[in-house]
Amino acid sequence: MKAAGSNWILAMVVVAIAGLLVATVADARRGGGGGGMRGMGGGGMSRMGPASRGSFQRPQSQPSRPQQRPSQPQQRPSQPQQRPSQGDRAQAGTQQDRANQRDELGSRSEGDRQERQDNWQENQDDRQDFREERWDDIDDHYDDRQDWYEDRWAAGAYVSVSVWGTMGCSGTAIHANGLVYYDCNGLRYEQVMRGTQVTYIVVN
Amino acid sequence: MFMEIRSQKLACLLWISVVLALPAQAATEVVVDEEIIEIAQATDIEEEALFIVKAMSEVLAAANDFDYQIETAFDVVQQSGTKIEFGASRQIQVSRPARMRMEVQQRDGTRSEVVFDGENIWAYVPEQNVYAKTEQHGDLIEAIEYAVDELGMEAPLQSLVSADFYETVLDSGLTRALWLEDSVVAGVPCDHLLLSNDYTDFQLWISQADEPVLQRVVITYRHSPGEPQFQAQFIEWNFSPERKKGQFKFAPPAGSNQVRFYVPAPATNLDQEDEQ
Repeated sequence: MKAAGSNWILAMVVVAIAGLLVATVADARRGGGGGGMRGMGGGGMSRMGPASRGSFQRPQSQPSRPQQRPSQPQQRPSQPQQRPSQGDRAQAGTQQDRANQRDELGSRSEGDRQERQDNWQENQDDRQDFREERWDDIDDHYDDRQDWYEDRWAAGAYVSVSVWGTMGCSGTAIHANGLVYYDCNGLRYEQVMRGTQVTYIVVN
Repeated sequence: MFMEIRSQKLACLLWISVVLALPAQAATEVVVDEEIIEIAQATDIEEEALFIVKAMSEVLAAANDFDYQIETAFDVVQQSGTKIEFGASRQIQVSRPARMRMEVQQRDGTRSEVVFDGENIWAYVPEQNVYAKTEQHGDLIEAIEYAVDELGMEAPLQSLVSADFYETVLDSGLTRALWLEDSVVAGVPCDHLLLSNDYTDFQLWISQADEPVLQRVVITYRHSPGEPQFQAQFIEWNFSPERKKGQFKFAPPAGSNQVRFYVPAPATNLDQEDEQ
């Protein structure tokens, strides 16, 4: 009877540890989509979003293959025809010097404008071709990247440094084949770099 | 708002022209019409705004070596809808065509260093004394794109190091370029511009100087929930930096461990669609 009670307690402890581990890895997985940033303190705040890129350009390459190519712009922006009248601008008079330098732009003939319009059209076509080629490259690159990944990691769970710190794992590094591993809760983790963040990923 | 005012103004002018034109002589009509045409032809792409961007771009293009320091901030919209701001201080040293060093301190205090030496990309985290390296040949823009898209690094305003920032702006699918007003940023008189594409609105403050440079950037991701913003304040530009030998080489510190860059697997759901 006493032995049965001990076994029951032992089983409960094992289940609790396993639950904790699953929860931790699952939490890390959720954060992993953004590079393992979530859960780095601050009560699970998300620390990455579209604005963290700091770019005005639409991302060229996505983490997953886009469903379809982005639609091409419906039409090019029209070529600037005229400088707006001074009345449209606040304090435009204070820029007289620069405005004088720019008068050349405003005094071009209609023929010049047509030529510029043609050049603009040509350049825009070039840009569209470039986008098409770029998209083909992305498709190819996607396939290469999938192969490359499968050669390295079969698992997908990884944890950030701060989550790693809460897992109570030993700090003893295992060096093998030039790589750094840690054992924790029955799993082996490889220490890796994601962006400029040290991260731990489960390896087989 | 700007366009609304402009539309109202145009409508007002049209109305006035119709009223005035009724009893007026033909010569008067021509004058009024020309004024209307001038405003009607003023599209969302103002030549002057492009001129200012181009002038700034040419200053950047002419410099093979330059350094700049920026304070960046960006909103992250939480699941609750609350916007929380994060940020970093960044010191960037550029040596075209292929070398760059970037030192970053996040607001949570963590530091990192990234070096592009023309042959490799290095990332170093001093707190853990860990570095990673991957081979990457090619120019800076290719290297940065690789670092951002594949390695997961952050390199805000990466297009500044391109040889032609102006072309990059045009190539972003520009739909609007407006000169807004004179503005003073940290004591520096600037032109305040608003540019847009189908992805973002980006405001630029460019110094009114013989060699105009960016002083401030605000990017609004208007199609993202909560319309988060990215902001960058330029603290310093240096177009004649002193370069030391080996400045763009990374020497692993004593006792540091080398690890691999981790690249998450791409999603596979669409592969299944492709197979069908």
